[in-house]
Amino acid sequence: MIGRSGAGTGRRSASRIRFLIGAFLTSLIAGVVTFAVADNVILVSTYELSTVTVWEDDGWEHYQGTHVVWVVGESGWVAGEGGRGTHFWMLPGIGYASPSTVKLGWGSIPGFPREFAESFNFTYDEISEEISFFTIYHGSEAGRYEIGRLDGASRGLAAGLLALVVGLSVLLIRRVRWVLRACYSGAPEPRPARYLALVSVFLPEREQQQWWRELCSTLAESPHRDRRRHSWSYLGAAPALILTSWCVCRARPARQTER
Amino acid sequence: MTLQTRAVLGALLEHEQPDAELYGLQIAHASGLPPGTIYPILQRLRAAGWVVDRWEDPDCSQAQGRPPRRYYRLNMEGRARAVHALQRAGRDLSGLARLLAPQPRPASVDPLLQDGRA
Repeated sequence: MIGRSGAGTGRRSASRIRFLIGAFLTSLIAGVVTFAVADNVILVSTYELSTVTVWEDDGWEHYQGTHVVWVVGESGWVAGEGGRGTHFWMLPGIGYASPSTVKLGWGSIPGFPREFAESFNFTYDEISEEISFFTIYHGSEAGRYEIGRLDGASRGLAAGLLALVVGLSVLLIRRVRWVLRACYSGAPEPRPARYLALVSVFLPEREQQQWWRELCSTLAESPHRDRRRHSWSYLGAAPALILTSWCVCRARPARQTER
Repeated sequence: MTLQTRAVLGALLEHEQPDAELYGLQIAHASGLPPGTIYPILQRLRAAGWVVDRWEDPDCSQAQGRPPRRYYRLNMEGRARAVHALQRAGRDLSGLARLLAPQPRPASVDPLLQDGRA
């Protein structure tokens, strides 16, 4: 269930690994892959090849079938969700879904933009409570099946993997740019080396600012002759820092600082 | 417990005032470790509930023309546990030192000497 607190975050790493494995396996059977890039979310949807139905109506291309939606948020991959219904696509990469039949489990994306959900005609009444590995759209029992229209499983596999790579790359680039802008531009003089800001890209969100502020504070007070050595010590400790940060973050909610 | 963690705990414990707060650079100097190394250690100690931290009042730091410091201190539970852990680590070390120390062998049981006498 969504109550995304301590227990929920603890399960997230396992579910993410399962999800990535599942994403790969699902791409083996995917017939159509589309993705739409929003402000900070990427929606990847796949249809299971053996169940998809495709037809055109008034210039709209309709797809119906067993359908998997993957949502890529700033914090990583999350499950998609489903219902019984139809997706229809006006342009490649831009999708609209029927609000009465499509639900997505947004819960594990912190700060998920409400506008995005609404632009895709999802309302919050329809948010699924269940965040699991992934959920599937069940095609209509009366649907027509036109498998021949697709090129086959190999196309689905290539498109699925491409969507994964593109989605993750876009997210990584955005994250790096955001962190550099957020951290580096606000750093007090003398500014730490830029490569140190990159370390915070790999930290959990709640730890990024804390670590960066302390680093800036320490380097600002370090004697000039020690500043370089201290900078290297932060870089050298980056693997331990990243590992510890994620372990601590997942073990329990971080303790609040007093100020 | 690693040697670095012990050094950080030692630095926090051995300050003159029991409830004194130390900031990162002070802990680094007191423990002899670089500041990059002590941050993950303090992070773990904080998560374990041994150490509490707070950010300095920005007004206070601005008055002195520097960024705010992040202060750390051992809480009551952490202090007790740290003392216990350091004592245990000290015992382990001294026990290890005793084991590793060369011990003189009694002459009567030395086979070479016995052979020589024979």
